[in-house]
Amino acid sequence: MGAFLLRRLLWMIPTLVGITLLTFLAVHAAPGDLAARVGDAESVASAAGSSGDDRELFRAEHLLDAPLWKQYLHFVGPFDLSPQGASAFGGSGAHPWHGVLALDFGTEFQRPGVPVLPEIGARLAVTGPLALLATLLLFLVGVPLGVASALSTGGLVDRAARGLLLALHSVPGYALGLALILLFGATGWGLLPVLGAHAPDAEELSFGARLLDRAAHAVLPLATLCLPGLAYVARQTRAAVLEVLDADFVRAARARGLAEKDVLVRHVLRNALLPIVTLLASILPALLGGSVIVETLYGLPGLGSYAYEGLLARDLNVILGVTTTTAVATLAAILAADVASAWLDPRVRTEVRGG
Amino acid sequence: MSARPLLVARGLEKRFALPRAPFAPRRVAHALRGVDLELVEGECVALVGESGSGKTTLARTLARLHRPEAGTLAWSARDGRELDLVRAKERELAPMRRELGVVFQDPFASLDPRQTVRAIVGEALHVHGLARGAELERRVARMVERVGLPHAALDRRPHAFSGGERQRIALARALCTEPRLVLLDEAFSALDAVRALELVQLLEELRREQGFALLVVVHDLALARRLAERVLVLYAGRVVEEGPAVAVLAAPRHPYTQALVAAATAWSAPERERAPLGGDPPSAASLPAGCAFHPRCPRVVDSCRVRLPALVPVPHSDGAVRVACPVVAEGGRGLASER
Ligand SMILES: Nc1ncnc2c1ncn2[C@@H]1O[C@H](COP(=O)(O)OP(=O)(O)O)[C@@H](O)[C@H]1O
Ligand SMILES: [Mg+2]
Repeated sequence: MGAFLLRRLLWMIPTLVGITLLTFLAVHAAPGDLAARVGDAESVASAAGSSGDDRELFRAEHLLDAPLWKQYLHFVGPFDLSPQGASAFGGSGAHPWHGVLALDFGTEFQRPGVPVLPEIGARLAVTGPLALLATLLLFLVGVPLGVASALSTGGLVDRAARGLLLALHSVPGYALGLALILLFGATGWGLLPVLGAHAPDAEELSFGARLLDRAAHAVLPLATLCLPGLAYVARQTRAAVLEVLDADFVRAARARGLAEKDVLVRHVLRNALLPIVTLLASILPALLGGSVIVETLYGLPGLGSYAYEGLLARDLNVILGVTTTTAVATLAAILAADVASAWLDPRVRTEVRGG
Repeated sequence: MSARPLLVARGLEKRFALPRAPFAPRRVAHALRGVDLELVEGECVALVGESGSGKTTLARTLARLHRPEAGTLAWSARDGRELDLVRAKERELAPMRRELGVVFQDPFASLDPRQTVRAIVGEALHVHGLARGAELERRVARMVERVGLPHAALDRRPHAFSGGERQRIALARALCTEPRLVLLDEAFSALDAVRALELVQLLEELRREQGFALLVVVHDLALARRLAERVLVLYAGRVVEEGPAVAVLAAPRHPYTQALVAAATAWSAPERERAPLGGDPPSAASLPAGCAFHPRCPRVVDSCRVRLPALVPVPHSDGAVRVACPVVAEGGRGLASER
């Protein structure tokens, strides 16, 4: 197992390099000046001349005039290659470390001086729970639905579930989100809050009321995030269960007189679990992608809306920071799914446990 | 021999609804069309026929893995009581389940990959409360050793074994409860000749020891002849010929059986005697009218195209043979009246 893990971890390095390099080049390839918006805010108040100096300073600080390879190395780290950077690379030595390897994504372009990494941390505190809850919901609802569907193949439950899920699946996430806002928000039945992660006066509420307020604010984002994926999880589960149901060992168990409940639990579900667990690897990336829409729609200060803001402002550091974080999370999810399925696979298990 | 019928089937019908496109007409595969079968305690019956003739469906229906749409199926329990397998609820089938063993064709699909050999073989004993604790352990270990696997096999999972070893595990699973009837659906087909022979010999030994009745689905007619006392030839879901294995396989009467036997020995026969059976067996979803074999039959007459032939006794020097072919039956009677 150790060698397996190590090999998988090493494989993550080229993958991460590939992803960040692609993002980096894509942002640079887009037409226009990355520093074009610098000083916009101040230029209203101050003289036009000084904003040009700001821009020069900004370009120097973020190495925007340096060759691309140098910029990329600056991003990867761990040495700061800017004029204030490591003295070994000709900098002043004020700020020697920088980049992913030094756990420093630099500062924002849009809000000068605001470091990206702590902001990502704050945003993750919103997106993380949302994605985890959504994953949990997807499995807690999708798997039983898929199992029920498989057990009544062609029957009423199966057809109803599949019809409903197909309908949900074919509605784009943003349309579903808008529909939910219109129905449940103030414009419709006014049942649920549709903006923000909590009420503006949340600080003054008692602990219980604050919890309730948080939950109410999470309902619609969660629904928007989960409902389209539900069809996917249910369908994959249904297929996995159907495949095992048709296996001869299930037939043999029935012929031996095992109660149907035991056939299902001991033989069918235990064997269908493996393909279901591997779904995890594809769900998390999808949820992170979905969070861009959901967080923007519901005004949640999460990673998704941060990515959206960064893209609009062409904030290279934010874009790269969010991309790297998302890529790491995705690779971690894939690794977790791989480890889980290796653990569940009886063939691998024998090697690992020696039994 | 005090031949007590163990399992009696009359007029079994089994149909499968086939998947269809939306708004397309409903399609049904008629897999069994009125099959009669009587299995006597301790005897071995072979089911033969081309792929798709309904052998597997018949074996599964006898094991009540399918519920037949029509016909009767009666099991006589050890205490002499009759069990109506068609009407019985799954729970009420326990007396039969306890005394029935099954072995399937694919050794790689018939064992639960997550169970150890110990759990696989012991499950039925546990489920029916036949043994527990040390007694169960002892019986499982003895059975696993009896089929020629080392004691260490008990804690391994199926993936650690070859196809032949897996079939032995499946056999141990089927026989651990000392069943009165064992069904083998092409249990030898996936094995190479040497492994198949070993398994056949093992099966014969175990049968001598335990005395169970045996229903084998086989492709190899020589194997049918070696194992079985009686043979049933299936075509398109009907029995077309049945009788003692020596009679049916050595001197087949039905044109279909004759073709099967000829095909089985074609490699060793002189070139001019090789008469391959033309055409394919019909699809169970669209069977020809009359005798289903008539489009391929070398002895077809007009009435074959309209009338479904019944299984009738024909004279045979080697025992009671029944054939579903009026041409053969009348030919035989004609011969008898000439004498
Ligand atoms: N579960 C099923 N659904 C639909 N058709 C089936 C099913 N099982 C068997 N059949 C059909 O019934 C016929 C007999 O099949 P089977 O009993 O498997 O034949 P054999 O074992 O002799 O090859 C075939 O035409 C097959 O397509
Ligand atoms: Mg078959």
